[in-house]
Amino acid sequence: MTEYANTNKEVVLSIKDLVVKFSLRGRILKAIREISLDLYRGESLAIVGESGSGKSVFTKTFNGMLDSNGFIEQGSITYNGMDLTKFKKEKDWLQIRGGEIAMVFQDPMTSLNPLKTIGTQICEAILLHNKDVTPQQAKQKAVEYIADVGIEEPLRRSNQFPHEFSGGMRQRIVIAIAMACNPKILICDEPTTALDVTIQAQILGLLKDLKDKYNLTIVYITHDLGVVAAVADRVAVMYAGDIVEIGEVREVFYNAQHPYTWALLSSLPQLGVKGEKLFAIRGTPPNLFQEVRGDAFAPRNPNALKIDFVERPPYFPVPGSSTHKARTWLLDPRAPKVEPPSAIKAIGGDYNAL
Amino acid sequence: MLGYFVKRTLQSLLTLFIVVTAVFLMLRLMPEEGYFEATAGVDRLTIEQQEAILRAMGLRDPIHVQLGNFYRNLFRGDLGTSIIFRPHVPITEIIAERIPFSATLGLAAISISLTVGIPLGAGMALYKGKMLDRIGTFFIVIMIAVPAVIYHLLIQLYVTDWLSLPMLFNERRPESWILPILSLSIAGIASYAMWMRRFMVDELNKDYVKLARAKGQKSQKIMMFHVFRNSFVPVVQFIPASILFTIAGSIFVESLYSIPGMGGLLVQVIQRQDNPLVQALVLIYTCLGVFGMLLGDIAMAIVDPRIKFAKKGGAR
Repeated sequence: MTEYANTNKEVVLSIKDLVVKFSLRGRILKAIREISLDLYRGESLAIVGESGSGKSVFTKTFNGMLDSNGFIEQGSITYNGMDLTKFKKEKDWLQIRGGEIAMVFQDPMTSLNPLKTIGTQICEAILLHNKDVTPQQAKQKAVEYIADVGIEEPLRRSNQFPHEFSGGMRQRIVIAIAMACNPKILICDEPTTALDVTIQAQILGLLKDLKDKYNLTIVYITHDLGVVAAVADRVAVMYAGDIVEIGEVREVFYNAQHPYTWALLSSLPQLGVKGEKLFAIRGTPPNLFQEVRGDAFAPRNPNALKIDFVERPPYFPVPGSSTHKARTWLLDPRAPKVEPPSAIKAIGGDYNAL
Repeated sequence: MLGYFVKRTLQSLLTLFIVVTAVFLMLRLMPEEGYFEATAGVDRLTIEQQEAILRAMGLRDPIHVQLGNFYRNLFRGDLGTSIIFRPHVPITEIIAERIPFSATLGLAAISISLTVGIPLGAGMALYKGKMLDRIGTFFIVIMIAVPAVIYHLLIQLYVTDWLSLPMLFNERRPESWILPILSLSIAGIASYAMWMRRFMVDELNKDYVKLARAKGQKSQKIMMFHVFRNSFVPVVQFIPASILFTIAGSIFVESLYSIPGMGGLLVQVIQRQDNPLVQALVLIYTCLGVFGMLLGDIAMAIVDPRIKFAKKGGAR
């Protein structure tokens, strides 16, 4: 985790002031509210947040997979000198999808075409992104990719259909398909949510290995803080379409600054005390059909300051760190001292507990 | 896989046997007067003469003997001779004359239903909610809601006039094929379009289509390589039923347009109680129906790799 800070931070993907809106039954919903984020080559970034916070929508803008009623209203997404927000036609996106930015989806049971052998499906990806490969060579490479994701007897397996694989195996195949595209950035949208716990660890381990082998940049979308602790270098905490806190995993976990991050960490069942009720964040996320004023989390924050309801906080760097920043007025020098909840302190030095 | 085919074929043969036997037995329940109408008035024959004729036709044998004789002859390819329709002419000869008309009509209708219905449904799914989809849906609803008899008659009544086509079939005028084939294929078009649209809309929303997009595949390729084939598979299971429907429809359409095929003949000979001919025709239609179903199931097993596991109630 620390070595990444020492390597030269080359930005591969740069998002500036991104605003994404959806039109729903004549009303406009603002799903992403002015997010800026730089993604560095070779890092793995986890985006965490509750359902509906805009994690998936945010990453879908990277490869033009927004639903048809969604649109980017302002901001820019710079990749390789191109502004992806200017892309309109499918033809533009085809140079990004797969070959530059690939995706792994949540549910491996439905992510594969049930009527094609997995070999064929991997070949499809290989042939798409390597113009000078013959179908014969592609077949061979497909077998290599299957072996690469840790499946035994790859040659025999390549001629089988998805229904002959278990969930974990299928997720490996989905990952193999993504890798066969030879991407620079891999977006994993809740890659382990649909899998049972023992398989989760294997898949995460596999992704980590592949990241090192191919020098990938990986973006994880998850609501599982355990996943974050296991695989991520950096973590971005999203709430109501905005990144409220971002930093290296250690910084965010041990030295959380934003009240929402506190609440999120406190609600980890692992931190609960036996016999006591588990912590739950009260209230509901704001209605994004309306313009959010101030700090979006303020109405659910028992310690909210007055200004939280009036003005949106800017990012304040956390003292003593160049990588950690949070959007909370608590970091303003004028703010009163608010102690994080006791559960947060209990995390101590050992986040393996997560 | 092979076991499945064998099992399905045996099942089909059993169905065939049951239907043919049932029809054979039911025909024996018909009033005996029917057998004499063609020759001379039944009242002018004495009871003894009638008995003699019936015995000569083998109708006084015990029923199991009659059935046994029927099947024995059947396996020798002998369907007997017509009694009333064209007395003493071998049935195989009568039917051979008529098969070309029925086959032309049936095959044309089935292939037109498929070649028009499937692309129509696919187009409706691609432009879901747009004009094509709305018009198509309207057409499908009408075709399914209105009984076939009514639109067959309406087509014959008005479209012949409108396009100045002959009302009845005429061998020397090829254009008189148009309306019977249209009548017969129109319901098939509607049902294929309906199923194709439905399954394509289902498939389009599936995750593997999203994954295919995410890996950088072009929309048209996704349509051809993934979606079309996958939606066609469940449509295949409706083909046999639709073929049955076409066969049933052809009986009506053939008599409506006086096409000298087997369907029109069947209606005539049932009315005139020419039992051997009825049996033979029913046998042929049952064969068509049963083997249509069988082919549909086998096609299903070939196009869908998951089917062999369906036996155990598994992977689907």
